[in-house]
This record gives sequence, C-alpha cells and structure tokens, in this order.
Amino acid sequence: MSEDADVELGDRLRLSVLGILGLVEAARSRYPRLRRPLAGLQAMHEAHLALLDQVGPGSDAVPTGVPITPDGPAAALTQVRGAEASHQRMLGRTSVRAASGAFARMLASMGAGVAAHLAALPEAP
Amino acid sequence: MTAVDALQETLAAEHAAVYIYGALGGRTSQSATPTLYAAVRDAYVTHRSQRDQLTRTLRDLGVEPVASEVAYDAPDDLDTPEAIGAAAAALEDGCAATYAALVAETVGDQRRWAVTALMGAAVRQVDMGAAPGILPGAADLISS
Repeated sequence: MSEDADVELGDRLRLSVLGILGLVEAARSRYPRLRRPLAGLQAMHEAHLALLDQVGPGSDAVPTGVPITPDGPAAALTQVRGAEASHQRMLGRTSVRAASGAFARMLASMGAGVAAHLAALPEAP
Repeated sequence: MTAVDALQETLAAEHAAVYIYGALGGRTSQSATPTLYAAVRDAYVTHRSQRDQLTRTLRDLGVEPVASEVAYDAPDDLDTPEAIGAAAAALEDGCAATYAALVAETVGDQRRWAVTALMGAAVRQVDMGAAPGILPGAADLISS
C-alpha cells in the first residue's frame, strides 16, 4: 500500500461517515425519543469527518439515496446499531491496510470511538 | 521508535494494568457492586491475557520481554465504587494511548492486534462509567 492509496482509503471512509451521519441525523429528526441518545454519535461523526477533511480534500462524491428509518424508534435504534457496528469493522480493517502509521492510528482511534459510543447506547429508546 | 520498542512499551503498560486491576479488585465487592466487580474482574483477565500474548510475541521475535516492576503506584482514595470506576477508566485511557501508538508502529497481524486492543480499552472505559470518547487513545488529534 502507498500513501496515495491512503488518500483513496480516506475518500471511501469519508463516504462511509457521511452515510452513517445521514442515518443518525434522520433517526434523530424522525424520532424525538432518539434525539438525546444519538446526540453523542452525531457529534462524534461530525468530528471524524472534520479530521478526514484535514487529511485530504476528498472527492466531491456524496452518499447516494436517502437514509431509510424503519417504523418506530426501537427499530431505528436497531438499524443505527447495525450500521455503526459495520462502520466500526470497516474502520478497523482500513486501519490495518493503511500505509501510513499515523493514518492507521487515526482510523483505529475513530473505530474505538464508534465502539465506545455503541457501548454507551441504551438498550431501548 | 521501532515496532519492538512499541511492543515493549505496551507490555510494560500491561504489567501495570494487571497489577492495578488486582488492587482495584481487592477493593470491589461482589455482593455490594456485582456489575463493577464483574467489569474489574473481566478487565483483569483481559489484560493478563494480553500481557501473556505480548510476552510470547516478543520472545518469538528473539527479544527478551520487559519485566514487571516490583510494584506500581495504585490510585489513592478508592473508597467508593465511583472512585474505583474512575481509576479503572483512567487506567484504560492510558492503555488506549499505548495501543494507539502501537498501531502506528506496527503492520499486519501486530497492528490488527493493537487495533482490537484499542477498541477493547475504549469499551472498557465506558463499562467503568466514563463518557465515550471521540478519539480514544488519540485525543491529541482533536486539538491539533
């Protein structure tokens, strides 16, 4: 892997963060009971996005489609949990593949942040 | 810093974590605070396992693993469950920084191990009562 490949990895991760941020925002907007429990997750993803923007300009690509939030806050919370767990795994895998040690450290820490926020989520809304 | 240096620093942190969790476990009551007791016990077992894995890894590399200190400074004022949880969370915060540094200095399976250890430390911080961090082990990146 080269440092150029890290830029590509960063682009892909940026898309992933944008996608999951959209999902969290949609769930908070649709279900007032999720506003507070998901506030920390949203703030974390916004901070992660700002970090990725610092690393490189990124592409202009944006996630396609509108996030779908299922009926009911409990189902929406379950959906967010699943998406966050998938995002966490992606961050872990990408960290291992990164060429730059500093970039790998940042991605691993982002994944750890997702893991911590998942652990702090309530069982039910 | 080389990968071996980072592995040795991580092993030193695991020696300290095992010692301090032993001290915290001695101040935790299974009957009065079963959740905290279980969290401290599980963390002790995890750090002991990670210490042993790192010891094997270093030996496999032909390096003499760093030895444990005779004793470590355990936190004072462990009179309440909250104080014990806070001490454990602070310990995990330090371990997370060590694992994050190990991520930066290693590749392949060793980095994978460090990533997993970092995520585990971040979750244990929450289990011990701390608020979830935005960048566990690398908070310096936020202010820089």
